[in-house]
Amino acid sequence: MRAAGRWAAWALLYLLGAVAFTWPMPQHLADAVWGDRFDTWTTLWLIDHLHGRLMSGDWSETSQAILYPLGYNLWSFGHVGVQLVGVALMALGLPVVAAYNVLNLLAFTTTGLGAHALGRRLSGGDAGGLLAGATFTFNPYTYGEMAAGCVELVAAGLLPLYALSLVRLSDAPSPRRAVVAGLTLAVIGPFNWYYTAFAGMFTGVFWLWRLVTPSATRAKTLTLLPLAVLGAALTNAPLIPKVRQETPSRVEISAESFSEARWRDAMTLTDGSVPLQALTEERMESADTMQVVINSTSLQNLARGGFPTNPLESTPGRLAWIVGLVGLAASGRRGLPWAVFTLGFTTLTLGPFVQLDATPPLPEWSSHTPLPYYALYNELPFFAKAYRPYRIGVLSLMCLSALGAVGLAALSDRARWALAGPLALAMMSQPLWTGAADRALADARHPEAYAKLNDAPPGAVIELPLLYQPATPANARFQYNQLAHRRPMLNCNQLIRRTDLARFRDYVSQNTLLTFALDLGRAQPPYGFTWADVRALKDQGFGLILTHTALPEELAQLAGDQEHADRLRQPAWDMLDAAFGPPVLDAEGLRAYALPEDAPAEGEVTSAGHAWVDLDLHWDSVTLHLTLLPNEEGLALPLGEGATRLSMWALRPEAAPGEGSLTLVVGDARLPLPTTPGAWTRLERTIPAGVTSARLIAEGGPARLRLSAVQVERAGVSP
Amino acid sequence: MSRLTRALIAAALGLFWFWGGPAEQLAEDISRARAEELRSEGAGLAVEVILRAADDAPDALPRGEEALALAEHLRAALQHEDHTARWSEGALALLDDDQRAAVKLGADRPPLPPSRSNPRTPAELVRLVELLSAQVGAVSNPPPPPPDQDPLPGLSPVARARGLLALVEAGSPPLTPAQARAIQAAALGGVRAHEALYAEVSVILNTLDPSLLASLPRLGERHDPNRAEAALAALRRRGG
Repeated sequence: MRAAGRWAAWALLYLLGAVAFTWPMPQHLADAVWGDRFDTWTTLWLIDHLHGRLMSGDWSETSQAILYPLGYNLWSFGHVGVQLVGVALMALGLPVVAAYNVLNLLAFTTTGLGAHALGRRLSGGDAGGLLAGATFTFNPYTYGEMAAGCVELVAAGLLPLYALSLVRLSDAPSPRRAVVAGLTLAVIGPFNWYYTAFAGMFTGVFWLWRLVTPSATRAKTLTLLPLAVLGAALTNAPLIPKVRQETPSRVEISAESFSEARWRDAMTLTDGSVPLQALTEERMESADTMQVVINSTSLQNLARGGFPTNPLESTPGRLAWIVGLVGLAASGRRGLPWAVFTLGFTTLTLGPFVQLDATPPLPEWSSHTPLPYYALYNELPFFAKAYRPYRIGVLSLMCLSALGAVGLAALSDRARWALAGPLALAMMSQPLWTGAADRALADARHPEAYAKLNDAPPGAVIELPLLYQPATPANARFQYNQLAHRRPMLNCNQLIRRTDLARFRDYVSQNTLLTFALDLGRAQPPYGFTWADVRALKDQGFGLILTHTALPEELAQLAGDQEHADRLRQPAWDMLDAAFGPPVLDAEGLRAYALPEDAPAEGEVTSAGHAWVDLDLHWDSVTLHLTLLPNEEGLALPLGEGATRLSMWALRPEAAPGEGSLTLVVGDARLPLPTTPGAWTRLERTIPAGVTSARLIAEGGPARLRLSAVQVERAGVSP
Repeated sequence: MSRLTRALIAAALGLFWFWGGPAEQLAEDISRARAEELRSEGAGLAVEVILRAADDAPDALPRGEEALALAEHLRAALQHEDHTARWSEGALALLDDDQRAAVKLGADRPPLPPSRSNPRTPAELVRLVELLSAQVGAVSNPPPPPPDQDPLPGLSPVARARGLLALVEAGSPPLTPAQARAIQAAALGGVRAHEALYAEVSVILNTLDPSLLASLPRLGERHDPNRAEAALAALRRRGG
């Protein structure tokens, strides 16, 4: 009972530490999440989707809710155990965002407890437990994983527990302890295959350590340990085919895999800008392989050990390295094995070749000198599943934590607490004093307009622009927003997997309406599709095309140089209006078109007939991201002869709701242009005959204005 | 020596390594090592300028014809620079889309915003461009450029804009409309090559009045790169 109370107290401490470490997320538990990456939105979707299915007794493996009508195998997401914990939290009544955030807080708590148990065992007291728990839990690596939506984090605490089970087995080998070790390893599997592979790596080095260390228990340990692993493998045997399904087979790597030319090519693919027809298997494999080097730790990041914005650059971190140094200094030879482990695992985080910094290409000398990871990746079965080398840093962290605990064991009780207490406090509060906590939370509430689709005609959804990679945050949220309208949809974030991308390519490329929808924000006219393909989609169960006439400013900012991919230009709107208009919903930035019940059997819709040209406003491109400061007379728009319509995307960056307005002055007429506060808004106005110039005026509020895709349609001009 | 003493010495060494400067110095050295490689590719001069600027030693910057030559190399060379370094975002401003693709990180994910903890903010970085431009401006002033002629040919748009603005700030004779237009076009061209996330340049598009040019915000000046406030403001707007 006393032991239970003590562990409950430690759990509370780690929970408090998690609250501090993740602050200000706990302040927005139900409406915001850390990071704005597609992983987060995908995981939120999956937890909610699974909850709905399980509550309704649907146990089928495939979902039609995304990648409709092809369907998606839910095993492909991996880490089922994690999702089930999230489902359980939802079953308790938490909304999905709160469940996700609580899952994160619980992950930090259980991770702390797992490492605490290991540290306590190695140091013989709770001070060592605290130091190990804090080191393993509160560091740039775990922070980065949380902010990237990588919920593998939930299983992190199982790694030190597994290490503890091996230590116990080694200290006093018995079949019972071997079973415990095997079961612990088996439990990691359903939670996360990365960490399963990492546990396997640790098993190997632990076995070797025992092999070279004379002891009375050596023979028995060396026998029981493989049996424990075998038991775990047999326990998870039914899941192994699912693992193979989850991650496509990896191709061999070489220095040529990471050449500058291949890097550039991979970038265009992951930006979703390579034409669909050009997505060959070889090209997809090449881009996939590039992940290995992108996800490798550079020497520069290793030296800094800071809290980088990009989680791929994260390392165990400064304080963890200091803990390891302290532990090694205090423990002497006893800590040496853990130090060697740390060195080895950290070497693996460097990936196949040494990278000085995060910029390709590889240094010439580096490409001739492969690191151990290279051989292991190419030669060792299953090792290639760990194709994100930086994540092996979790093993470095575990060994640093253990090293710290072993070091404390050599000190007096007073000295232990004097070291462990302040270090743990510093670790828990790191984001607050390093500035990482200043980063943004992402608003996780669904736009309210999606709920209004309940009244729209039935049918599955195609949301535009249709991208085959989650190249922009706005697009990556489409799948998450499926939870708001609950209709099956073609859009899917999981196309980052090349096997799924190939299925998507084959499906989309045989329908002209889908190829029209693909990357529509960046595609240039002429556009076109056939009515036969519209009918085909209707027959397959599609009912709606969703578009966006307003896009939140912060999402546009996060999209960086892909910002324009989210904004459809006027010829596209004309096509949609001509074929499917009027929209069945046009509210709060969401516009929905219904696929007609009676589409013609033949014929096509094209952009011919509309002559839209980019307006010459003295700058080179209409996709400039400038903030304009019009003077009192407004911004001159030289429409030119024969202008009939004007269209643009506009943003008033500093305007609060109801503050001021945007007006188009055309001759004597003043045409109001309603913009959505805090959002890029699509605007379109008819120009009276004979008018050759107009002015744009921001009145009654901040004058600052941003424009994009300013286009004018001129009569008598060939499109 | 007791184990506690050893532990404390180790802790002190660790603290010194990470917070005393050696870690950053090593990171800088790594950048220099990369620069050495680039030197062999003929781009080392430009990289040297960057490194000198990064060292906050503007006096060490080259002058005269050398500065112009370096500026010409800059655009080609910067694509190889480490974009996580503190001065690299300014360098990114000089690149076109293809070049930036070569230095972009995170192939399977959209770029993340900069943060206060990760000093990608452009203020220091653009300082590099300013320094170089100022040097170029010093070369070209005096004498004042002839009317209707770009006084700083061969430079990247941002460098040219900064150089021209430097002329204005240095009290150069008022610009002609053509020169003002050149500044405007240069600034716009420079911003075009700038990632939206980092670019915030205010321009006055409907006037060529030189007096207004003096009120232009400096290139690279923009709102807080950290979007925490923006996101929280969005929450508030929606009643959160």
